[in-house]
Amino acid sequence: MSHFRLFPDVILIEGSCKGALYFLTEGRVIQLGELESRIMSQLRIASIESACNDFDQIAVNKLIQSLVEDALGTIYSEDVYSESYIPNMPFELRGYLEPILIIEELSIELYPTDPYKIWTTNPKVVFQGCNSCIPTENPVKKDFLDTERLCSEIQSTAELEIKNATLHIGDLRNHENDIVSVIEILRKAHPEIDVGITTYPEEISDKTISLLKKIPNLQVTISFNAEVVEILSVLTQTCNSLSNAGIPVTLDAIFPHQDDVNRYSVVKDFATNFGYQLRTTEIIHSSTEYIYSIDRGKSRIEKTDSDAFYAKQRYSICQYGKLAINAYGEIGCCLFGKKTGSLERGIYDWLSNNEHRKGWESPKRCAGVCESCENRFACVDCALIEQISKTEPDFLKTICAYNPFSGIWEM
Amino acid sequence: MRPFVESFETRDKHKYIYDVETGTVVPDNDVLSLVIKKIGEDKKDPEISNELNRDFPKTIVEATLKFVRRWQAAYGGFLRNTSVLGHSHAVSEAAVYQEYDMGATYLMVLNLTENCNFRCKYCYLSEEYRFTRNRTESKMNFETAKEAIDRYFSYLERIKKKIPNKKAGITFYGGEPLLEFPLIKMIVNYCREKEPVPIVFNMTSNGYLLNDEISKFIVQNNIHLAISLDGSKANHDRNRVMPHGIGSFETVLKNIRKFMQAYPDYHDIGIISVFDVRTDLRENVRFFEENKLPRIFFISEVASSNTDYYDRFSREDFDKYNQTYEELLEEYIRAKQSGERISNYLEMFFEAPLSMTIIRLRAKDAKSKLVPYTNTCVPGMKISVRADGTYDICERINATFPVGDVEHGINTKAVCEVIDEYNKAVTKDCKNCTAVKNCPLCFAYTNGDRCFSIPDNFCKRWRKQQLMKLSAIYTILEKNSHAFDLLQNSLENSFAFNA
Ligand code: SF4
Ligand code: SF4
Ligand code: SF4
Repeated sequence: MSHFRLFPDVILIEGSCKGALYFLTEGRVIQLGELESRIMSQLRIASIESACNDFDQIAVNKLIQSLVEDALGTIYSEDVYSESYIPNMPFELRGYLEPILIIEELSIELYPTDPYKIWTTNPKVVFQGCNSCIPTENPVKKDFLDTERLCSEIQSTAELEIKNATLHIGDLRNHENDIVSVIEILRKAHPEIDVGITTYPEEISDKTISLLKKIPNLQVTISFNAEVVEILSVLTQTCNSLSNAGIPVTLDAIFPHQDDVNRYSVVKDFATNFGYQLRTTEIIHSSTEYIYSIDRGKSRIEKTDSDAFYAKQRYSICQYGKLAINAYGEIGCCLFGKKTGSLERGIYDWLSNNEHRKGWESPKRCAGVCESCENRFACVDCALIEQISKTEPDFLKTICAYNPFSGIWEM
Repeated sequence: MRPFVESFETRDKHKYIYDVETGTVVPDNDVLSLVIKKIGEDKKDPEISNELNRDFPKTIVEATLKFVRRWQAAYGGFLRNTSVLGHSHAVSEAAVYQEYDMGATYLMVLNLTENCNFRCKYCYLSEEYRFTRNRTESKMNFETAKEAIDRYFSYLERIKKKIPNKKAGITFYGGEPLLEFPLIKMIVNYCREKEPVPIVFNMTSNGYLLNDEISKFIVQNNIHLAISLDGSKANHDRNRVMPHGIGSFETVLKNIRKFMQAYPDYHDIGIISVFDVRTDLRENVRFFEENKLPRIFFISEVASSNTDYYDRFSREDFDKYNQTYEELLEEYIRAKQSGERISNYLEMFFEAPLSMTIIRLRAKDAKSKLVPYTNTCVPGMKISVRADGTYDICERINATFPVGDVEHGINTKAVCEVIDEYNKAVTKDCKNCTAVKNCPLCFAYTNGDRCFSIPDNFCKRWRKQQLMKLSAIYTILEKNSHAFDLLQNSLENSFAFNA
């Protein structure tokens, strides 16, 4: 009897219909066909000879031959045990031996406004809203958090390690001085921190630029409505002014999906021409109208090395390390997700009650349809969609065309 | 490049390679070990292929060569460059401070009394062991305890700003801590009032004084209680005796039962069981099966360093013990392979020592720069406070390495000296050792009179034991790949905090 075993840096993940090989050392995810997947599952528990009995012998031998030729596995004459490479011991230190807490990204919403009338369209999800300055809820309330209160709370985090902070600002022009003082406090409490602001192009006047220019190492993200035809000329002007002032720019294209014309390529070309990094935010209204997200295809599957693979088993990649405070002083992992704390009770209270873990530790493998998908450790999304797709499985279709039950990309 | 691997076989004679750097075990079809060996002889790939293609299929040789090369390049596995090995340098006080600043300290051990109402024959704190203190009348007063706790709490207050979920513990130790029950009450009440982070209390007791009042207090304050019980009456009373040599079994067992009757839902009580070569292991397996007792926290062997304790046993004692050990090990392996229920004693007896090998350190697990080898703790993770207020790095270390006191706090200079001494004497050869990922040689294991030393032949023996353990573990895993899933959870929980 002979047995096929994958090398320890190659891991078979089985989906409902098909499987994928995660080649950790090269970061590649190799999609298997349906038959190949069934053969691989069988080889896991039985000899090559028995797989040849159960499946077409030629197919079995061809598969094994190609896996060996690609140096993904090898053959043994005994039924040996094989294990996967793991970078760390398979458990986390908690409680007594809890390590220092690191906040990778602190997001703060300030003075929200809704110039693109997004909230009047009753959105179901603001998909990857964290890239934008879209209000986290309909900004009818005006009792915004006052900056003094915010600054004192930021001061109290001085001992925490916070790596980046982004201020998501709606009405920047009327609050420039407040914003500057928030940034100053952030830098004072965390001298190493990287700070960015995200705002609408309409908010950036010459006066604003001259003020922003005085803040060292500031990253500005312009969050614009990609479905407004004349937007590119406005953007060109704003980006040029910011660049001339030496302020680095990132773009966030908001797709309100008011019609079904896909303007992604236009925006993408614009960003590429100017050498700007482009992020997106999409407004998804319903799972039944199927206004599809701009990137539903195979490109969702990312390079996945061992660190990414194991991180995705344990954490929500988009929420991990995040702490967000909205304009009303509510605290959560993500500005658009559930808020379970408040500035009134304080950031420490929220953290020491382990509220952050609820968001950080909700990996994709636990999310509805994705649980049955072999790509679940290779594709990244907005956890909001994952949350909704637990209760409304159909919702996932809007952002991902893969049907793990049929193994088909239903574009 | 030299191979940095070990080889072992399972009971079915299947071959495996243990890759030290990554901690990964890889099955060996002979091609793998030969490829590693030949790369270690500085042969080039075409030469290796030519040599191996004579005996093995070409595709298998090529695949294995590619795998070994990429494994080496990506994870530093299988082979390593011997010239890049570093040496351990003297540690600086700043480095020690930095470690504490990262929140390393998590436990304070209060040695409430140096006295004991028992005269256990293997007691570490007795004439039986060289360089350790013996029983005295000395006991801690509340002022000393308070000073120690205040210092500890002010540290925790600072650390919780960086680690909002920091948890910490206080252990009551002795001698027999229950001789000082009024002091325990005062300390617990004081702590509950002042604790800056949630504090778990632990106590190790011989159980003799456990009465209704004490039991109630333990439960009310959720004190994790470990009671020493060596097993059956014969096994227990052979060593755990009171003055005048009277066995303590009956009273201790009665007290445990009474506690369980009164508080059947209290789960933070467990047993610590000690054995030596004359312990009748089978009788203990039966004893713990037949008696409904709290779960066993751990089973440990009477320590063999700095003592002549084992001289009392004959060759026959050792042979008999070894034979029973082997038989029980095979029983344990068979049961684990088939997923059968295993008695608590047998499971703890074998699984606890195996657990360090099962959950071994991996390539990216951070090790403290202060003690880069072995699995020892970092001095200062624990602070053990003697009855007179002197600090030690561990309650198991002898009295020749004080590192401060309640009045002045931790003396980082003294800590540096202890670490340097240890690194010089104990870890000088560790960088080439294949057992470095799970070596238990800690400060307490190696301390002598103001010095550290490796017990005779330890390293060779330990490396051999590692291979035996790996063989047992993979013999089990070959038949039951989920055999140790629960262990992983229970280890994670044991560090977590369940006050
Ligand atoms: S979103 Fe879910 S179903 Fe789609 S590819 Fe990713 S894991 Fe699979
Ligand atoms: S769930 Fe994740 S991707 Fe979605 S908005 Fe929040 S942080 Fe961004
Ligand atoms: S067994 Fe010896 S050489 Fe090996 S790590 Fe332990 S102390 Fe060092």
